[in-house]
Amino acid sequence: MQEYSVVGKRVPNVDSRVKVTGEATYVDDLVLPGMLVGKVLRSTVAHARIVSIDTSAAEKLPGVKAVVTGKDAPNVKVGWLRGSRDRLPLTRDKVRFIGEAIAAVAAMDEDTAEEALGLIKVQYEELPAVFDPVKAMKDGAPRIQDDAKNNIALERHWNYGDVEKGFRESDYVREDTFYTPSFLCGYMEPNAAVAQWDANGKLTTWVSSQAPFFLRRELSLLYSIPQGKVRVINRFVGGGFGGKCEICDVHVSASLLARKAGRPVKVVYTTEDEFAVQPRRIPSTMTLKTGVKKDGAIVAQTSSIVTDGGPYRSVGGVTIYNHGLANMIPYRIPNFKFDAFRVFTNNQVGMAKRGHGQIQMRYAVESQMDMIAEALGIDPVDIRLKNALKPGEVTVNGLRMRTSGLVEAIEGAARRSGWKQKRGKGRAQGRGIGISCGGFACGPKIASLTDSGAIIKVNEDAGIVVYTGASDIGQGSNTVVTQVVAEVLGIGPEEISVVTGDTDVTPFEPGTYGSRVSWYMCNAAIKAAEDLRRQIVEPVASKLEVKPEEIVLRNGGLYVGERRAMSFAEAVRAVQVSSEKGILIAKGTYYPPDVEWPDPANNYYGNIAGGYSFSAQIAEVEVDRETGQVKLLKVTAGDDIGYPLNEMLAEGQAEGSISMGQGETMYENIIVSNGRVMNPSLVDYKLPTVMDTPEMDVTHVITNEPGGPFGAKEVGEGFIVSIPGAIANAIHDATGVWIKELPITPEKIVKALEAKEKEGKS
Amino acid sequence: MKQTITLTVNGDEFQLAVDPRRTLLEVLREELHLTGAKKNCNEGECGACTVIMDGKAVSSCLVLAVQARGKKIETIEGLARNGKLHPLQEAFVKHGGLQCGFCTPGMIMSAKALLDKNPRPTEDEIKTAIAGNLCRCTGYVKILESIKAVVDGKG
Amino acid sequence: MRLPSFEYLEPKTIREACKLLAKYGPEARVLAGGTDLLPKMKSKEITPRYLIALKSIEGLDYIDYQPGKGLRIGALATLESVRNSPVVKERCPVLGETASLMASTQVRNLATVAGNICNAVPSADMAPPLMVLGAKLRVSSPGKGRLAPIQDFFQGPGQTALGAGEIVTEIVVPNPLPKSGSVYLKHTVRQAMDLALLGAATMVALDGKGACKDVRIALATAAPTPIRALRAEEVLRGKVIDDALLAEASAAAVEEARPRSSVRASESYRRKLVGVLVSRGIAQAMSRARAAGR
Repeated sequence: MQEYSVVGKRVPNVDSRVKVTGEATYVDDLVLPGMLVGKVLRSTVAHARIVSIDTSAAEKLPGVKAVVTGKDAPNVKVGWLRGSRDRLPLTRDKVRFIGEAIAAVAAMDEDTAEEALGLIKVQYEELPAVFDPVKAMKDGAPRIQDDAKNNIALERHWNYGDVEKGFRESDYVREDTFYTPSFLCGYMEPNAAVAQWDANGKLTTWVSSQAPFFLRRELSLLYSIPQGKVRVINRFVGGGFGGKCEICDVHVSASLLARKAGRPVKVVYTTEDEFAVQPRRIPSTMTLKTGVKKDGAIVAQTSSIVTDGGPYRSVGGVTIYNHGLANMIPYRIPNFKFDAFRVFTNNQVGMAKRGHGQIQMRYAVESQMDMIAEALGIDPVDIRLKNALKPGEVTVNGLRMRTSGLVEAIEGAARRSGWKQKRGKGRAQGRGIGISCGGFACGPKIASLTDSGAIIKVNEDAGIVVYTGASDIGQGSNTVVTQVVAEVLGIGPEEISVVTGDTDVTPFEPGTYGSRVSWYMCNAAIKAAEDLRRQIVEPVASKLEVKPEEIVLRNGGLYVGERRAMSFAEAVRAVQVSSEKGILIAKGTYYPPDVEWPDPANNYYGNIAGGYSFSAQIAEVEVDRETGQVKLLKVTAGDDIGYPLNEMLAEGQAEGSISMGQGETMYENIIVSNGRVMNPSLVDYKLPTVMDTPEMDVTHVITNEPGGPFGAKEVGEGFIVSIPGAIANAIHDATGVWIKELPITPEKIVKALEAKEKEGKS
Repeated sequence: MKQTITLTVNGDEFQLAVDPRRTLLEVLREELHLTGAKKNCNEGECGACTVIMDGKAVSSCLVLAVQARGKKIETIEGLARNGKLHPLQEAFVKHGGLQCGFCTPGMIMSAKALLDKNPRPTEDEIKTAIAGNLCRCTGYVKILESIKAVVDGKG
Repeated sequence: MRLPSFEYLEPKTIREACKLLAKYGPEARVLAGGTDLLPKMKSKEITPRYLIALKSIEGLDYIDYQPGKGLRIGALATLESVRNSPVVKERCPVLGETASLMASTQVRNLATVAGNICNAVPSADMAPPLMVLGAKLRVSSPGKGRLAPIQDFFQGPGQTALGAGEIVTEIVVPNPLPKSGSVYLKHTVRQAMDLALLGAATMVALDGKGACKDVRIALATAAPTPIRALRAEEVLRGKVIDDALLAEASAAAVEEARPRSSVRASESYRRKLVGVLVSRGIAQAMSRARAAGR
């Protein structure tokens, strides 16, 4: 493993000192002079025409300073992508799900704002609603959006090779249907916004966002003002996991209320708000038909999915594209057909969550992989090794695997977990062990502008300030950018400060999603640091009468061979005083050189990312056969994240992924009945606690991805996608039953065991 | 009708006129501007608002400020002394016991309440002390490592 | 969400508290730990006009044992203090163990045992162990107080046998029977901070020959209130308990349970859990009883 001086080291998170002292301030911690408190009124019915909204009593309540409804908002639809701007930020004439924002109030204090909400009278004329996406696609189903026949919001169809021929040539073919429900991102900091308009008509909004520049774009479009008149400032972001990418009614209500009241307004979501509108994992029904040879080699697969997107397109085709992407990674499938639908329903809106659109499919594929292995009498480890993508392979849809450490990851995890000694041997004791694999694209190309930029400014005392648009939502991007810049400049991380999260200050960055930040932003920062190095080294080299390439920056100094010519600060000083180039400003922009947008005209073929991560997880469980209770004992994992930029943060991503994946597999589920969330609190929506945490053993396979920053790939999404399959397969090993829908609750296990017993008797 | 109460917060005494409906969390955050204690679920299920009251960890969203009358309250802001971090704070930094940071103040206060009473807890006792502090980022592994490092004197 | 407005009353004596409660009737609520009451008020599920706080009443947070009187738990004794109490551990360990299975440290430091009982939810964890221990509730009122068996206390979800102006001020737990053991088994989805999908407390007292001299079984979340499984007890009482009898008793408990389906669990699964937990609970209580030896 290549050794660097700063990169790869367990450098503490650069934000951690202000976080452990409570100094780190989040949106709700911000107080502006004259600031009002805003609250959002939400629909109580799933599908209705709004006959009237009477806000007069609310307006008369002492302390209320502004009430807004959809009519106060510009009649402009917003969304994530150009093709998915189908949503009025405050609905006007219709509500399409329970929880949709209808009106908002701003008052002197929160008590008054809450009271005022209760005084707004909304008269509905209820419309027939539809909650099952399959029913929604049928002729005669209630129509949710005027522009969508049969409620089909979006569809994607790919067809590579000849699947029918493939099935004919297979020795074993099976078809299974799997279901995954809706999950909450479950970030700890409720979404929030403070908004203020100044006398120049400029909107400044303090937010908790994964994508401040996208938010700026949507606000600019909404208010028909230039982007220069919208300033989005990110506070510390208390987690996101996909749920803070999109413009939400929190942003719109704060800015609308602030405009109307002429004062700053803060809106902070309550738990009730979060369960109503937090962008959530999209529920998927996935039918997989897979044909294999006797040795387990996959010959053909069809993957048909119907997803319940709720009544708006939101992140649009990305979710369903990602399902197909998850079919393509990490196993070789020579013939593949994919048919995917995002369907409108009157449930809450589905969007992105860590492992976006892919964790669902990995659960399905990995469960079926074990069913196939069982039918053919192949060890689950071996069938995965057989199909694992190897370095240099190109998938049928054009993904180019320049590196892959998957085989080593599988072998290593199997060895360390004691797979051979444990597999198939624990059922009598209720013990089980299961394996699953995954992978992830490092920053898929999904929109037209996905470049990253970085600017470096040098202080008079040679201190370095790095400006990037990336949102550190806890994953540690501020820390890794510090490390890569320090490495290039040969200085310590303490010499560097990072400025992020202000759209008026930093270069553009699409946002923290799609596992793109380490790859794109660090590459941009490396280029900026290299630019700065050149600006320093070239004048110094001519002074020292050596060639620039003879100078090496390390250890806080400039070296010619083994000779330390001068310190970094001395070099900077020399440049600063010597010429018209004394003000040192460097920049870097990055876009992966060999990446293609998956063109619909070309069967969605294309290499959508510069690199692909891989992971293999082995889960061990103990199942109480009588109660169905599952205890996740241990997860042994290997991953190929190229090269860990910061070992401690990389481990943190893996460990957090295991926990979040465990929650989706075992505990969590947004239960929706007739469009109503039935468990809208953390009492009944169960996030894993420390008591549930398994032992974890994570080891990296180092592959030094050529395009990655210092060889790094993504970490944190390729890891989570394979957790559910590993746990599901371990539960099968322990019990003999398959549960084809998440979460795998004790009750489902007991019912499956009872059914199996009956089957055995008859 | 507002009532006058005295609270001792991080050693400072405050005389406050509060509405009985105000929770301790609201008073800390909105009256005293001690925003380290965080508000998330507001019903005692997440632990983000944990503070120490008369030596015991409590969910400050479940305490009426008037009920905290005369009590000694410790919040995250009171841990570092003279610019020196508390050993738990140092350990969370060094061992990566945090990511987004939102659960961190509550987490550290729960751990502090434990260590103040029991400086050498077992792993189970540590887990019990922080079982009510939800963290969505870390998977708890590095949080446990951080607390154990203090217990083992390796902060 | 914020708390609605209310008038906060802080009586100094139990008598004064009872008088206030009698005066304001259903418009008032008693505030002990507040961990159940305040969230319900925030969600506006209930909006009492008066909160009668017990905190200023001196000396209500005791946990005390006297040989003649048994274990006494004051109305303000918290779950955490019960969990950590040496005297509870010595006399009625099941109560401390049950407290350990409830909520979180920062909630247990506020929540009271009496509050858990008076809140009277079907899933009240403290109810089943107190029921099998034969606990009584000391009820104070503006007039004469009374000692009410916990058995008859629960009338429906959130409904208790408390009359106007009545407050539970103490829980009295008699000395456990000689050669007896008690356990509380709680089935949850998560390992912590979770409500009981089913809870079962069991108490078995053995005679000199090892037969079941007395037995009590109480269940949480198996009916609209915590209940005793009396028929299951009948199956076991006076008999030597073997596997067949255990199966018969747990079947009887399954039969007499009246669980409902909810988003948390179905009725049939809860019934299944009744059988499993009762059977396991009896077995564990028996081995404790054997070990008790007094």
